[in-house]
Amino acid sequence: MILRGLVPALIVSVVAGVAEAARFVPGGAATVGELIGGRRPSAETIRAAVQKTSFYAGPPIGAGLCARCHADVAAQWSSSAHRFASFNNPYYAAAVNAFRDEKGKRESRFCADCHDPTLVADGSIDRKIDVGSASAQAGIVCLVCHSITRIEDLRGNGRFHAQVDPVPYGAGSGHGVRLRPALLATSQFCGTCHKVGLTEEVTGERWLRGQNDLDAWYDSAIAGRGATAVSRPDAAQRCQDCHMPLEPAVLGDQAARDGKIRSHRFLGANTALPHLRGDEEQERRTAEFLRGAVSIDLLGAAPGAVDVVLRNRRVGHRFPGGTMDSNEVWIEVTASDGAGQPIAGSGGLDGGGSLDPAAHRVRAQPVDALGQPIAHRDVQHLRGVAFDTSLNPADPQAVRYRVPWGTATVRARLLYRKFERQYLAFACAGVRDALVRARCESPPVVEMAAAQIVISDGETAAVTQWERLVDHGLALADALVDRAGEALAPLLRAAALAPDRPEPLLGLARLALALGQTDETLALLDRLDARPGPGVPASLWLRATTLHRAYRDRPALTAAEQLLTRLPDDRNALGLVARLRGLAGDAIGALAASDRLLAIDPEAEEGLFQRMLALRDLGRETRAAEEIFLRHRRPIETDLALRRLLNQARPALAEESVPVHTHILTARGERRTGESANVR
Amino acid sequence: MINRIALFLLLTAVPTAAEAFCGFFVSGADAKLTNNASQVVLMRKGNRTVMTMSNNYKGPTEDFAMVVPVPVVLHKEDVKTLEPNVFEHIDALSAPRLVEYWEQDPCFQPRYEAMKSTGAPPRSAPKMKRGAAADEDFGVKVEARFTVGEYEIVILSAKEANGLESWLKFNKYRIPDQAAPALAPYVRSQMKFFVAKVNIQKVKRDSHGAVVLSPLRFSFESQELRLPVRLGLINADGKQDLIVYILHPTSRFQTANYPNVFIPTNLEVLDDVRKSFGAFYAQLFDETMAKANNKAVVTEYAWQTTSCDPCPVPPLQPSDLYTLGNDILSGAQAPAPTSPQQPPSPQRPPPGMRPSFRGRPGFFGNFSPWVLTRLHTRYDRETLSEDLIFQEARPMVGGRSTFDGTSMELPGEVKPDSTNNFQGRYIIRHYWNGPVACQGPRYGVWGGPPGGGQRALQHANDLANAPRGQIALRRVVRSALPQLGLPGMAVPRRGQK
Repeated sequence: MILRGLVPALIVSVVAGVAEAARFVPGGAATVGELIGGRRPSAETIRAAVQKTSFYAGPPIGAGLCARCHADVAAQWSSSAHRFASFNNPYYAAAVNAFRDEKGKRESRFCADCHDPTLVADGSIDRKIDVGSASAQAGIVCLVCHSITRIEDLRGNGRFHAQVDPVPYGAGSGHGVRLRPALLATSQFCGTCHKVGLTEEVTGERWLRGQNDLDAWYDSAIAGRGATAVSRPDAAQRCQDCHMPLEPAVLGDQAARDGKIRSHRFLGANTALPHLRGDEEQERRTAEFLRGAVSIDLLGAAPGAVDVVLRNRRVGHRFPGGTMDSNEVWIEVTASDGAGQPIAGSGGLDGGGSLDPAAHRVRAQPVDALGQPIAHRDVQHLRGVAFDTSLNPADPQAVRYRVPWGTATVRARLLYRKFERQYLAFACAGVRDALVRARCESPPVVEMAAAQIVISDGETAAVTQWERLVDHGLALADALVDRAGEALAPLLRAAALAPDRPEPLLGLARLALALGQTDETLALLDRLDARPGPGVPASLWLRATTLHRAYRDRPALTAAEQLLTRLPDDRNALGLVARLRGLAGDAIGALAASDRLLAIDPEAEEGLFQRMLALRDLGRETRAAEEIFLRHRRPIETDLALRRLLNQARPALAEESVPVHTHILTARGERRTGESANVR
Repeated sequence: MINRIALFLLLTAVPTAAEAFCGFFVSGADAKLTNNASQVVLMRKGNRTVMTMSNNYKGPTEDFAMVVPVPVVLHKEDVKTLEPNVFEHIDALSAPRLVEYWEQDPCFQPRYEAMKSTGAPPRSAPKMKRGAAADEDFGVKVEARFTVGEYEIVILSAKEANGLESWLKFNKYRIPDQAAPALAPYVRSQMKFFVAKVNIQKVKRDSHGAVVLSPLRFSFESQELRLPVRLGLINADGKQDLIVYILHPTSRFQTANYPNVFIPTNLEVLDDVRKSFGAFYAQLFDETMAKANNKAVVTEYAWQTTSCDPCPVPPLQPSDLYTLGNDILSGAQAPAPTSPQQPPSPQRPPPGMRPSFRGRPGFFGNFSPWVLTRLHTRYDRETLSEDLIFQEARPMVGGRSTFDGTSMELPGEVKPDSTNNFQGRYIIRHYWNGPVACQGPRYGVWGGPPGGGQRALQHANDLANAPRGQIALRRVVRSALPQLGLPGMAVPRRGQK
């Protein structure tokens, strides 16, 4: 059976330490010629541009032939971050050059398999790179993605097989078969590069999880799973549905259906690249793509305090996604008096454009061995994650702000800048042209969302929208359990306002579970399940988890198995079922559930752990299973130790690891609000 | 993943979070290993907890071990042992107290005495012990091994923790029959373990013959303050007493998932209680629990650490807080613990602070206070089957007295306030029985005994071993207390004109 065959193969290949890589067949110069072939600018033109601005941004390399029939696709791609992924991207070039200097040229394939496929295809990446060459300035050209026929496994890191055969043309030639296999329409296809594991070769020590948009999406209700999600969208979406929506084919693209094609702008959050190039259209579209993706709300909390509530509305993975450390997302808060004068704030930018060190940042914070933030995308120095305030697709987050006496209005904005100042200075230092360097160093600050609240006589107006109350309650329920009881009031009010909605009851059940109130949790779930209709998966998840925590594992297993029937490939459900089957003495069943989980994610810690225990219970050899589990086990102890070092060095960040922590606004006279002419 | 800390198991001879008796005992003998009383200090700040456990043990007089589940692999510097008197002090400070007043001559013309500096000198801080790594090789690679006092601590790595049972068997420990299934959920949740082997020759025993083990302290981060008491039931011999002390910078704590009740306080009792305060309080406690179907956690104390009133012992000093975990939670340089050879300097209340009332000293500190909560429950398998989870609670007052010895709250009254001042306080009042030789005698003025001086303040301790069922509350409680069906007694007739 496929599952049994896959996992041992994974174990063998991982334990052997093989550096799996992108494979281009046939490979070599001919393949590169195929990839960047067709009409393209002259080598002199490319080199001159690189000489002047450090990158080439003229008519694209590697799309010339495609553009004859696919003008819209080619034009969109020519502005995309996929095109500017290689040495035509100074933000990337600075980091990968530093990596190559330290770790070695061949070792940089870790980055290049995804970023520099045309340099990997003929092995150029293993040597000194001619950055002025077409190959170095091409990016992820059309025939890279459109030649991938196979993903080796689901561990990401660019483990794809690209069969770069000549492209047939003409009706009935097999053009579509050659260029658009069914694999292209799957999220797993995207995940081959948008999921990263930092191998021992990269860190020099142990394996660590890197960016991972694939699994975050996979676990979400947006993907049609999301066992734990309180809110569920109407329809499931893949990566392509958000990042490649149907767009009018204004240039008559021959691939258009009903006048539309899948957008190849690959809009995400990279506002820096279009700004660098002066591509106002792409920059505008990217900013628009960001706006409203996360909502911000302000609600009254304790006297003298307000809660900022963030919720991921449209992003199918964690936000920020991708390189969660280098994206700079923060909350700017301004408290004003009755005359509208700012009296205190947080999250402003100083004269040099650097962010208030005490601002609340929405990000993961990787650190090096000394507990210092990774500031130059130097992943080779990454040793742990000190805190993670990024937003998952489902759950709101709250941040509390203490406001001074006399505050009449509080305004909060969620602001986004692609890179923080320190990285910009590092990455743009090599840009020769002064004007371009200035643009390189000043990506726009995008206002993603804003909210305002009025405080009158120390009170805020009562909230009457049930969704806002549910979001606030869910966020508070995720606080330290010591204080999670604060969530009760907003959730009860939401339940009263919307008695027919499941979300308030789910929120109350989640809170009761957090507080260890087993009977109360089950009673709430019974009320929820008594409603007509199929019921929500989260109810089964909460029931199984509640019973498991109360050591009632037999009924917990029953609920978990029902959940698995509803969501057969949900990773959380599979992990819980594996654990509970093991506790019930069903080692074979536990092994089956673990193997199914590992078929989805070969590096899933819970799957590897439960598998190891199941093998032990069956009296089988466990050494290999134990080794792979220990390899992928998150080093919590290291993270905690590094967090302590970071907190000692930067006390302003000490609370970031505590959910629903409090920021104190800094009193200011004439304050800089952080708004700049560059805010989109 | 559930991030929790389990209580340990005891093994003879040959376990992201806080617990009462959070482990189990194991030994090589076949004899029953029991434990009936546990005290735990939880010092909590943000998401960090420092837990200190104290347990007694009854079993064969041979080496045994405690197995303590923890959420992460601990390092040697994470595990410390403390002097047993750490618990003696915090127990005495927060235990229910018995006070005595004598009614003063109702015809006496009052004069105001000069206020005196009072306050008992601070205790010398308990010293933390550190051990050296042993050289023995048990044939299994471990994270760390060191000896301190009666313990040899063996910290198992993630690798060994997965094979805990094998490791224990390899080291010739007998695991109680119920332990394996009880351990299974912790193992499945990726809990880690450390083993504290006890050298029986080095242990101390209390007056009942039970082994009193040196408190063990370790710290961890967790989203919740949870005490998995279940594991400790394996070694339980009948009902178990559990006292949890929670120290927090600002808040009182109570359980989130079990009923909370306050111990009836400010009760006037008869003089006879003096001879059997422990038995009296045990009865009061048992009846309070029975009223809640024996499924409750009783708040016995909630007060700022910088003050007490009355003070059976001095309040907690910065060095005490340091010992209990503030060295970790503050991240700052700790105050130097007082050397036993160096007498501590006497503390004086700052000028302008509330003076001590006649006859009973108070103490008012001048450093940042924490809030000390004392929670007490008595449980067995029937009444406590789930872990205890704690949450912050609003400040409450009760059991206070005024300068002149009258009670600030009615008997049994507990009410919200801006600060925490709650304690279990029981009062013996000696009513005036002398002559009354004036018009308009003024009764209700309370003070020390005739002739001056003061009686030692009693506090209820060793409650797990207090005789039970021997006292009828209605015969010794003068205050009326409807919630326990106590009708009260009339105040005795005063002297004669």
